Amino acid sequence: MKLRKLGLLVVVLSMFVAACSGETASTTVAPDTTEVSEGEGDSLRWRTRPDNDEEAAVYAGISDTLAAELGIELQYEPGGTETAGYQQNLLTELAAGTAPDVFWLPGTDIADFATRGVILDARSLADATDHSDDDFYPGPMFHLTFDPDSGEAGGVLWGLPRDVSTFGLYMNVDLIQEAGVEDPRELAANGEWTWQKFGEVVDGIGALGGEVVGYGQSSWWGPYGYWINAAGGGFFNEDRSACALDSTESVAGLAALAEFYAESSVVPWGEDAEAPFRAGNVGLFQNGRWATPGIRTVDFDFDVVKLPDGPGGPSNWLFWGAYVINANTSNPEAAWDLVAALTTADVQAQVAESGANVPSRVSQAALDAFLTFTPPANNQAFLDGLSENPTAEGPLWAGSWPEFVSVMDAEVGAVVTGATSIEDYAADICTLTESAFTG
Amino acid sequence: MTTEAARDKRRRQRRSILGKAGIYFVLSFFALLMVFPFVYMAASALKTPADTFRYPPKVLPRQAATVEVNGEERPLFLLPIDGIDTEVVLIEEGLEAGVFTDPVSPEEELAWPLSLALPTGELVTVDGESLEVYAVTVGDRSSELALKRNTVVGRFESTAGDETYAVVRTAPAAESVSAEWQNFSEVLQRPAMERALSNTILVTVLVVLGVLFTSIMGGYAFARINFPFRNAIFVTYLGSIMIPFIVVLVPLFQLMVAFDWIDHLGVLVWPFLFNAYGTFLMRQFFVGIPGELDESAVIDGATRWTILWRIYVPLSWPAIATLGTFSFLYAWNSFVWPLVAINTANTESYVLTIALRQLGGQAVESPNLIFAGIVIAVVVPISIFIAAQRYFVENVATSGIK
Amino acid sequence: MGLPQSSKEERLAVNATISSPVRARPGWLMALGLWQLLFGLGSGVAMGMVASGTGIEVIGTPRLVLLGALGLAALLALLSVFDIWRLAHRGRLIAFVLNLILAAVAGFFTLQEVNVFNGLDALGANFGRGLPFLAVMAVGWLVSGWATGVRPEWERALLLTSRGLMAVGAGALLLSVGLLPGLWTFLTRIVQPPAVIFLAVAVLAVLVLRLVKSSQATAAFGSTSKQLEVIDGIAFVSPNILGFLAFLGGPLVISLFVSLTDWDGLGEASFIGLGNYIELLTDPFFHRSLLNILFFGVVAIPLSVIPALALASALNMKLPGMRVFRALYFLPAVAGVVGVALIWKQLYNATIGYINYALLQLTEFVNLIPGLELTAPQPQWLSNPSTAMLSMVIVFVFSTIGFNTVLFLAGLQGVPPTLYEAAELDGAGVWGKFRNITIPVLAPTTVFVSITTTILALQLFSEPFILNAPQLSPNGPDNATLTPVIYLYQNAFERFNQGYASAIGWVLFLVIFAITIVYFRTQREDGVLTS
Repeated sequence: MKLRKLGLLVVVLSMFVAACSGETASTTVAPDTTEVSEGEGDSLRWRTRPDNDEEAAVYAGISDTLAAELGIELQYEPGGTETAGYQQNLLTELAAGTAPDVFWLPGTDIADFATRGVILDARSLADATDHSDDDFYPGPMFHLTFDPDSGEAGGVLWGLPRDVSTFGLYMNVDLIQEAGVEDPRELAANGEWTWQKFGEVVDGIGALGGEVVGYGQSSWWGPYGYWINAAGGGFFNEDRSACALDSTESVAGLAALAEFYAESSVVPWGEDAEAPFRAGNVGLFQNGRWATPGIRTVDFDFDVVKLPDGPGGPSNWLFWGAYVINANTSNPEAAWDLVAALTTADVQAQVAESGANVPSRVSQAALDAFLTFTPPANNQAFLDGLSENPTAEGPLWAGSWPEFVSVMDAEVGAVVTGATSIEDYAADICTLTESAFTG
Repeated sequence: MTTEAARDKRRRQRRSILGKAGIYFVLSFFALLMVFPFVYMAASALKTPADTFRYPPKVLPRQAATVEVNGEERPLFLLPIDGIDTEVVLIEEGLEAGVFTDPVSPEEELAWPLSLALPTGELVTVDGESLEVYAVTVGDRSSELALKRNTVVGRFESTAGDETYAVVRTAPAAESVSAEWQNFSEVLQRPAMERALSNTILVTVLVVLGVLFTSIMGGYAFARINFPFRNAIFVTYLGSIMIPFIVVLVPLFQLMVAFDWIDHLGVLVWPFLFNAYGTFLMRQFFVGIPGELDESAVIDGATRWTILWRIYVPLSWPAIATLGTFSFLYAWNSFVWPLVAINTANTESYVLTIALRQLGGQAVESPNLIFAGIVIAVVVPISIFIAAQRYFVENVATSGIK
Repeated sequence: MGLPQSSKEERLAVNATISSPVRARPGWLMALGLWQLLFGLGSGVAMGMVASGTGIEVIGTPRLVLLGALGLAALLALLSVFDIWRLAHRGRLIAFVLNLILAAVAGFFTLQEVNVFNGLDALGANFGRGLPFLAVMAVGWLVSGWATGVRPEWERALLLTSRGLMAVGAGALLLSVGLLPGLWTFLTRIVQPPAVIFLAVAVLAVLVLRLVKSSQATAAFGSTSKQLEVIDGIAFVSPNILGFLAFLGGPLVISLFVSLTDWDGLGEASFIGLGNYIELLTDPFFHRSLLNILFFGVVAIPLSVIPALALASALNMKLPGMRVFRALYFLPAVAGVVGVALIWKQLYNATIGYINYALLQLTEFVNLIPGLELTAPQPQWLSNPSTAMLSMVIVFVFSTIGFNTVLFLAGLQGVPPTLYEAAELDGAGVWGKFRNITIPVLAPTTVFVSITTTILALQLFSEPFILNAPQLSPNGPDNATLTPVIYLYQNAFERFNQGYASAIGWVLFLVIFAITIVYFRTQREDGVLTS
């Protein structure tokens, strides 16, 4: 009985302790990561999603340097990866009022956040400094200056791009040599790197048999979107106000992809292609620059080559994300200074050196820093992607991008796996995505 | 008649032995299914990243055997030399080679360097394809083979100095079982993990104690004290078990925002100290305790508070242990609410489920670390369960869940 | 914490008051009446402030609820003043309830102001240091467990050791997690204005509570033991009821209201009546999610209940080794769904995963039979729409079957072994015993297990959420694993249609409610509410 009383006492006491140490925590022990710094002088929290641990360390270092330069107290917090719900968490925190002052957003989410009024139009802040929109690639800047009210670009400023990225084909050079097929790098250099040659290389590698397959991609909109774009088609019409997935070119591109998946040696649709590529069983693996640092740990010889040219000529995506400012920040001026400082050529060069990203600023110094990250030897493949007719990823100002994508993903998957015929798809797809535009 | 009875008995015994064997077989089969994922988890937690991507997969963690050649560690392979599997070292890679085949039996293939093959200038048709014929030298024998396609091979050498050639990728590597224990320290060094472990323990301890306290109080009131609308209140309260937590997810989140608890550890504790199920469980157990005990105690001048803690609680250990176990499992493994209520950035308030999910997204390139994280997350509840399992089922049984 | 025992003298005094023909109204009673009067006026003033929006600003449903509650409190308090003057027991009861609520509310605000609730973070930061001492306490507790059933002289020593270990462990734990600095900051904080006022109110309310419950009051009001029992009952259920109202009942009401608005969680909400529910009727994604969960439930629920029943009756045979099996089956329930799902995600991998490899090996083995040339199935478990939900079923069954087995085992412990023996004498076989004894006896358990499994299954979320990431969204391939809860989560926290999300929650609740009622109907003689 005494024991039990003692136990009870312990519980009560420890609750008490839990309670009381509160002050020690908020003042000395824990840094103030959990509350929006309201009017507490120049102190900002910022967040970006690193691609790997090394990059997180680079960002933390940059944060310290910039804090000293700008005279602001900075707190860098790495967000989760996209797959671990980066955007959802941001929205949840915005609703709870605990979101950071400055944060990075994937390009496709700019419209959603801007139209909700949770990010700040920084145009007037930018005009007070020596900022110029032309220093960055025009694709991202179109969306970052798009005003949903007037329907035109150039007026507002939602933020500045952190970096850009393109697709490349990661090659297992060992497999290519073993299969005795033509080297894609040479084909690309000679301008013969077409869908037909691509198919031959893939089948040649697949002929090795066993677990080996020629090609793999992940089943999100980027990889299949390339096939649609490279055939001369696209997701949207010219002013991105309606679906164009049923145009002849778009349908042809998807049909080619479906045929390729039906007949060639590929990682099954929807399965993770990165794991078998790392296991050394995939010849060509289509992915963005962000995969490079991770892939460097493989124990076979690897390199990259640009995506093959489609019937509509060369094509690629220009992926990007931007630093934006929380509409509720207590210190917009300092937040803008931070955004500007995070996107200078110097900072972009530092990030580019860690290998996962291409600088978003049209600056030779930053590009040179990017090229120093080897292997892969053929880093230029990613820069080629930038100059050869890339389609900039972008939000849907006239509708809901998440909704559009969720319908499109399902329908495209059905075509590639053979559950839907391409004719039915062509007839229905733009009706099905209609709700994304009407809201 | 006696003999018949004896025969009958023998038959019954035989049938019962067969039946028992069958039962053990079925039980073992299920047990294997239940346990294999955990064995796989534990073994994979000790692998190298490359080992986790291996195909065909192996359960036990393995590492390539190496040997020191000229001060350099080099991997060992097992290749046939003169028909005997020999340990060999890879000396040279990327030799231009051909895949050769005997025109007579075209399904057999040999990858051999072109430097050891001389074109004869002849052509032969194999499977409808016209192929060049080479004189290929293997060891001290030369044979005429058709070249199917080009490839590359590596040159291997045994300790005895014998040479052979093979495609490096498919050459079987010599391996030994070995464990990477540092996976655990590595995963604990990740920002979220260590805090997540101690946070989870803290949250779980508080929730279990709180639920026990409120449930014992409420259970006693509903079992033994008469007050107006008692049964109506009890049924309503019990009915709330049917309300999916998800219905209140949104308003509870907003309430926590209003209290400014979001993102703090408390948000995982305070709303979960009240549990209709626990109250129900305790009530059912208390109802079974003879009521005369209270009456005599009341006559002795004891208050209900002392009756509850001095008489009822000591008699109710089975129910308390059961409720404790259930709320432990519930608190330790809760996922949806922490996912919503704890920010990504605030790793200081992480619990294990959130940290694991984050790890699953971040460490795709090294599943060994994910597995090490899972091991850390499950080892505490599993060892507590193993330590307490002697009491557990008996307790569930006597606690009145029926 | 026990209530004060009345001493002999007091009891005598009480008898004296009761026997005296004229009931005097002592000072404490006047004070109580005055306090209740103040209470009523205070509630009235607060109500006015909320109504006019000065000082206290609350909007929406909470405002209406608060107004109602304050108004009711004011009325009741004034009523109790009247009753106390009349020395009617009702006044005592009302005073008790009102002050109990006041104490809880004021206590809550005190702790909130002192930052007690969020102070848990600080404890969390130091808690790691205390863990070894927690282990010491656990060892002490285990030692006390060994103390029973040993020789008496040993028992004494063991008990002493156990107490010593627990006491030392507790002390060291508290010190190591920062008891002293914590106490200090607590004391400095609690004396500052808002906190100290709340504290004073809370302390006053508690004092009034003690007064109301005291034997003096019993005597003065002449309350019967039945009436006293009511007060005790209220005191004992109050933690549960208040917690229920604050964290489940209250949010539930808000949720119902939010489901009738188009609230996005960020800005203003406008009332749209049944708009959300009407939209749900034509929402193809919601329909898909319902179909998916229907399929899931129909497959997964029987698979996690029926084999569990069979396993439990096998385990119930008194054969050696059953304990080991029981422990093994319970492992997945202990390990938790996130960890289990992450393990299965690797096993399911279609290209390098273990399951497909095992299928390959198995097929090769079967093909050893001459004449057979089967090709091994290599399903894309997670990325093929036709197997994706099946993969979820497997993980769900894996993690629930052991738990259900233990529940069934518990039910079987209630079956007297003589019942089986009698059946054996009658010549019943294994199947006969199972059919004629086990199943009828376990009927209530089966209902219970089926209901809990159903509630769990219909709220499927974590499995698809973990298993599909990162290659696919939680919806799975072609929305094959889109469940109502995932759809709710996405609406609430990704698209911020919180009104719509609440409507989904209510529809799901109605479905679960209806199914539960059906279960109860099939098993009327259940023992749940009758005992």
